[in-house]
Amino acid sequence: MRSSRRARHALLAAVGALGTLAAAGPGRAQARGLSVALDAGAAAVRYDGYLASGAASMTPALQLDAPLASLAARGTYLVFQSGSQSLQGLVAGSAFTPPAGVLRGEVSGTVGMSSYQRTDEPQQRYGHALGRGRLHLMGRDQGLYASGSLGRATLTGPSRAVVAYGAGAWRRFARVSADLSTTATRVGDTSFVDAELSARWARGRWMVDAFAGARVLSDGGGDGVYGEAIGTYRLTPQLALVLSGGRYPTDPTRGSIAGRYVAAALRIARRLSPDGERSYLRPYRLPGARAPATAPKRAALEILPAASGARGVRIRLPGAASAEVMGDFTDWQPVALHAVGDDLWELTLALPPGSYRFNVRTDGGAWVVPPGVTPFADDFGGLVALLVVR
Amino acid sequence: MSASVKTTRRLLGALAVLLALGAGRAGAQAPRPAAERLAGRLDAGTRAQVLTLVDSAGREGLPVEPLVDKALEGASKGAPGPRIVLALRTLAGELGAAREALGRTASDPEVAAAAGALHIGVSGEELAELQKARGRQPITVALGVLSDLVARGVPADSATAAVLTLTEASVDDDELVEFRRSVERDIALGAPPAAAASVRMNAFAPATLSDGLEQGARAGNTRPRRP
Repeated sequence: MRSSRRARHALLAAVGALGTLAAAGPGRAQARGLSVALDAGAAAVRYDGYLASGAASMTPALQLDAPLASLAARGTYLVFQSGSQSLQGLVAGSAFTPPAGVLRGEVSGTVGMSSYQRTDEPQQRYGHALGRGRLHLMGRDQGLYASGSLGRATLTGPSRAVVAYGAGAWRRFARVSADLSTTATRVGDTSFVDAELSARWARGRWMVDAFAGARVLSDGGGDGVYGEAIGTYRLTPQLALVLSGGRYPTDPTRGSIAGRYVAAALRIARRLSPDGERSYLRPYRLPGARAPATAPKRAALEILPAASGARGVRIRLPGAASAEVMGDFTDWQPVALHAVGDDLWELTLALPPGSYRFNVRTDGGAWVVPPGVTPFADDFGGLVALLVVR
Repeated sequence: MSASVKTTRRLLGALAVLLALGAGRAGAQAPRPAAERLAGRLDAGTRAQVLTLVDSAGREGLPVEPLVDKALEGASKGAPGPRIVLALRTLAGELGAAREALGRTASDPEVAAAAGALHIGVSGEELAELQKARGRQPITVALGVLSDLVARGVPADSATAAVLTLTEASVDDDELVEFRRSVERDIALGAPPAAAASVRMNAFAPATLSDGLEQGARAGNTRPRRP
């Protein structure tokens, strides 16, 4: 069997596996924090030094998250007008250190391969393996980082060393986040410096990512300016139209040549994480959100449907022998809660939709906000909890 | 159409009407008069001032239940009369500002929730924007989520931006509540509140908009690369 055929089969198997995962009930997959996506689309591309061509593409991807680490895999299968084919695969892992003040470390690794099969020539293959260390200085809405990478890249013959180092800064605004970075890269005898600015804007069903960069001080890596824009328009919660285009530079590490393109794809994505948690390979966009501590996963306050339009208000009060509630719904008079086991206390009320303030007390103690429920200042020098009923 | 299908549809229609009537009855439960609710709970002077404020709010078309609730809360917590009256005056002003921001079509629960949001730093313009983004959907839950986030330490402008963005992306009430829970968990884990809200906002935007796989979030993922 020819290698391109094997590659196609492998990609189809990957797509099938993704489909199975996406179709599976959320239970088992959720425990692993898994998200999957599949892009299918078409592009018009003109590589530097080549004639323009059309291409059809399919890109399956998945992401697996752990509390301090994440693993992503992605493949791309391209078929060009001429019948030539390109297959690319990438596996990336990233692990973060717990925060030490404003500092945070990150170690990541990437292994990738790409192949290109022309109808009249032998197959070309590239591969790369890179390890990267990064140190982040994180603020609330801005940060700095410095990174260094080491690895190898191959093109059929002997491999070449890859060394890269760089620094960057990011800032987040209400609707826009921006990232400015510069990276010096050496791949064998080829060297260059990239300065890049990226920004993301989101509103309504649209999300737009824009990138602009310049390659300077280049020795064999090409030079000039480049830029891309990627717009994602959500059609349904799991389906989106992805429009993209621009010019990108030669990538000696991955073994891809520079080109201009416009592309359109339909994306099917499914989030299988238990709480909507997603992967964040760019930790500077997630300052401090992956601390090693644990947080309660069970709701401290729940509203349950009850008979005749009434609702059950269930509150978690660990260790209580008796419990009372008073609030807007009791005219601020104490009413006993009933124990339903597992530290849960319940009261059934006829509550029309609206927001209600309340306090609880256990074992005849002080009136407080239940543990785990957001406390608000009550205008009388104390705290009060808020219950919103739909 | 077969007779059995027609019968089923009629039954379902009748059931829907019954459910609607039931919901209407639950929602329309008449509140007790303010004077009755306040009886024996406040001293005479404070009670008189509170009733004056309540009457005045009622004449202006504002919801009066939140004012009575606040007075009863103050009474139960042993707050002095002047403090209760001051809290009610503040709330009455916020209810008026909320009504002005949301317009006459807003329901009383929405106005009350909006007053709470104004109290913690959300602006009238932002309330109006949120209402516009929600269209015909009630904004009570969105405002509750917003208030929760601010109370958890998320700056009001960041919280408003997050709720607005999710609302404009047609995220429903269940997801908004889940979003709030996730932000709270991240904060409990040590994340800065503003960062937690921002990151979770991206995560809760529908899967295809903000995707952990970095498709669309990183240059190169949509490129038709070739060696």
